Amino acid sequence: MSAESEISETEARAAVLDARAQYLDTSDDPEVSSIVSTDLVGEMLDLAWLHQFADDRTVVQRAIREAVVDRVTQVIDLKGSLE
Amino acid sequence: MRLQHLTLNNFGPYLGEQRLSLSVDPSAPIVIFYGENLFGKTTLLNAIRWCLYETALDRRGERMPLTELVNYEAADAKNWVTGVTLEFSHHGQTFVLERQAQAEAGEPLDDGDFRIVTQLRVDGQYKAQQDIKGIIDSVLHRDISDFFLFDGEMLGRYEELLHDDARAASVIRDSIEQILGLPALSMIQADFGELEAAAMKRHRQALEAQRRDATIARRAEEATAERDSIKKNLEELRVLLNTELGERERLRLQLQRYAEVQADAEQVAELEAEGEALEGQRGSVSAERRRTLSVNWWIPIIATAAERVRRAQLDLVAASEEVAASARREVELAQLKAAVQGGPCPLCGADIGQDHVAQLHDRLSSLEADLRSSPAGAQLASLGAVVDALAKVADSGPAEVLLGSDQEYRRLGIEIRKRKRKAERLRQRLRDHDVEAISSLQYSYDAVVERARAASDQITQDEKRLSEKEGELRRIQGQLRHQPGANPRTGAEARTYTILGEVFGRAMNGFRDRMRIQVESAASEIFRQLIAAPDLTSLSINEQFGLRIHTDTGRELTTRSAGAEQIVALSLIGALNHCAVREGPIVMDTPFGRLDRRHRRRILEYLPQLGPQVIFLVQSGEFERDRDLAYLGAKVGLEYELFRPEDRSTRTEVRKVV
Amino acid sequence: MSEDRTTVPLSPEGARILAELVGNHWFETEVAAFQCAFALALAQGLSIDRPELRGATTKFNVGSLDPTVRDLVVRLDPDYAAKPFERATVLAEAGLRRLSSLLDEASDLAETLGISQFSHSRGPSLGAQPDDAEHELAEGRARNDASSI
Repeated sequence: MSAESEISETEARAAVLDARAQYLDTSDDPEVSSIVSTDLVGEMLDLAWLHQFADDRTVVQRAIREAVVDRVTQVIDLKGSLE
Repeated sequence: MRLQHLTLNNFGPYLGEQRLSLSVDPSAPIVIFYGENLFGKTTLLNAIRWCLYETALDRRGERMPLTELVNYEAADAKNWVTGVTLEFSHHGQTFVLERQAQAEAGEPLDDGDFRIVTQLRVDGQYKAQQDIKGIIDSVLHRDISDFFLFDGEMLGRYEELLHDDARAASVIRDSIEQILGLPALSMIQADFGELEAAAMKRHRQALEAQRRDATIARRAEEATAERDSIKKNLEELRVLLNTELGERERLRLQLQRYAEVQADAEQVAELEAEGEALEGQRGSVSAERRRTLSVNWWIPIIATAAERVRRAQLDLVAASEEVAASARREVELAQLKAAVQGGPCPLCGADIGQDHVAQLHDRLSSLEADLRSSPAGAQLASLGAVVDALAKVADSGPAEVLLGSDQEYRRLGIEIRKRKRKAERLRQRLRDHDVEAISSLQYSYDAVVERARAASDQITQDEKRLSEKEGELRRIQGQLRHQPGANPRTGAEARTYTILGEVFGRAMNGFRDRMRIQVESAASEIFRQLIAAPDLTSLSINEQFGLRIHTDTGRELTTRSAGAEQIVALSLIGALNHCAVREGPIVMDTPFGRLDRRHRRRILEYLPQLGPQVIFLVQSGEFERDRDLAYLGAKVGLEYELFRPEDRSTRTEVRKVV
Repeated sequence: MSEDRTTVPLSPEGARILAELVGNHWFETEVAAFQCAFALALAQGLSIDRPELRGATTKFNVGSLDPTVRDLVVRLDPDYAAKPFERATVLAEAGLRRLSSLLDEASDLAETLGISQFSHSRGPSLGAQPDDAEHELAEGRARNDASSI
């Protein structure tokens, strides 16, 4: 990430990780922490930034959603194969 | 983003083309334009804005029509073309953005009568029209440009908006959140919501679709078998094609050799034709030679005759002289005869004595004897006749002609023989080849080519069929895979999206708070630098990004002077620039209009820290060079002055101040 | 005193040569060939033995001959001026034997007719020409070498 956007992104990353931690605290689902890992959350944030100044929101949105689906599918497949 | 050059062409009061350098070093980042009111300072800001976003704003913040942008003098001269070129750099790349508006036919009435042409080059490469807006937005988006390109008027408006108007405040909040990057989070949260809904739907459909699984599996098996069959067929065809191609090559090489044979045959024909032509020529020469020899049959005697004629001519000369001498003797004789018969001396007329008479008689006898032996005139005639008779056959001309013909005849003979020999050698070479075999070879070659082509066509067809079959197979397998009943993952997917949505929703609030703290901290810092009152120490920012001034005791200040308001606004802008997801040049139009003297110096001292490129458009009332320039220190990179060369409002020019 | 001939006989050999000279396109007519043979013998002082003239048969009438034949005998061979055609006949027979060498392709016209001292007034100057056959052989050899590469 470029220097000038450091502040926002640093703060956004911190906010997302905090929110995850909070969620885990309040959730009784033991699988949550493994499915929604810090890595996954960080990657979702990276994808989110693509929305930031996208002009053709439809196109970017589609691309972001596809990326999200791919990543989530990957995670679940991996978990499935470990079981 | 760093601005390098701004070029105006008939834009606003700038007649003709004027190019300004805006490039400065970050250690001296300030560019100042001095100009009186209405000289065109705001136009410079609008030029940048219009070039980037095709939008120029008037004093009320509303869009200016294009007819207002064209220089009036140019318009008077029916030149309805106006344009701006902005050269800037961003992340190491060089951008050249050109925007031009031109009225197509005659005097335009509104924007519809103009045609706008935009061109963007990045590092020298032209970008596609449809990509230009996106590229500009990624450098400095329209929505946040107001925090970089703003005028004093806007600053005032901003201050007002901060206070009371709830609706306007939320607009500002949205803009600020935009500059800070908040929408990104909300949008992906929306994505998670959609995906979760889709996953749940699939999950429900799984139960219905369970019975469809078996059918799909069978279809998959059949498609797989068909595909394998096509593949096998393709392999066999490829082997066949290879064989045919090998055979084709072999035959081609053979035919090539026979091509040489063909060339030989053609050459033989050529030589024969040449030979024939030469024979024809030789025939003519032979006839010529024959004619010469027949007509001038005496050619062998020419030399002899010529010699005879030469001698006869010499004799003729001698004989002629002798005849003349005889005539002289005759005369003398007659005279002597007369003298002998007793006449006087023919010379002196005296009588001749008896002694003399005897001498005269002797002389007389001698003369008569000479005359008797002299050649007669008939002899002359005889010699003349010889010359006449032989003259014709003594001319060497015909011999020369004959020899010439003969030589040509021989030369042609040599040429003919040369060709005959060469043709014979080639015929010998040709005899070693079987002409029939050659034509059957051609036939075989053509047949192989046809077979290879047929195999190739079949391969193409089968490849297409294979591709289609594989596509079908993929689809069927995809269907299998996506049968939710086939795997229990769907539930896991839905749950994951739900959790992510939840996390990001919470994160948004956390992010907003964090950024507000960041901005608040940065704004406070700037405020402290700018404000002249030492008891005013901090700013706080509420949820609407409204700012409050606090004293050192923590008390909120309820009334604020206009100057203080301006500083607060400036602090916020400085803080937002500092925290924004994009960096850009700051262009401020008459920013010091309402500053009081107390704050002027501090503000001026602070301004160079706003960014790596800060452009001020100032008028003399708000900025006195002699006094105020010192506050900026060595931070001024460029200074320009706007002036009117002919004191006309329709024409402004710019010159550097040195 | 005997009178000169009124007919011109030719030996079988002479007649044969005459016919071949015309057949081989050296002369347009037999008369022309006869006359040229005569001129050749006269120029080169050729003679022939009587036995070779045996079996002669009449070929021409003297009226067919160019009057220049008579003049040439009278002027250049005056011993036979009284019977120029008699003389011409003998000379022609001798001349025909020499002229027959023209029938050989390798023969040289200038040499045969004794006119080498004259230059030719037609055609390109070939300068010193090598023997034609040798020249062609050399050319052919060179070409064969090239085509065998």
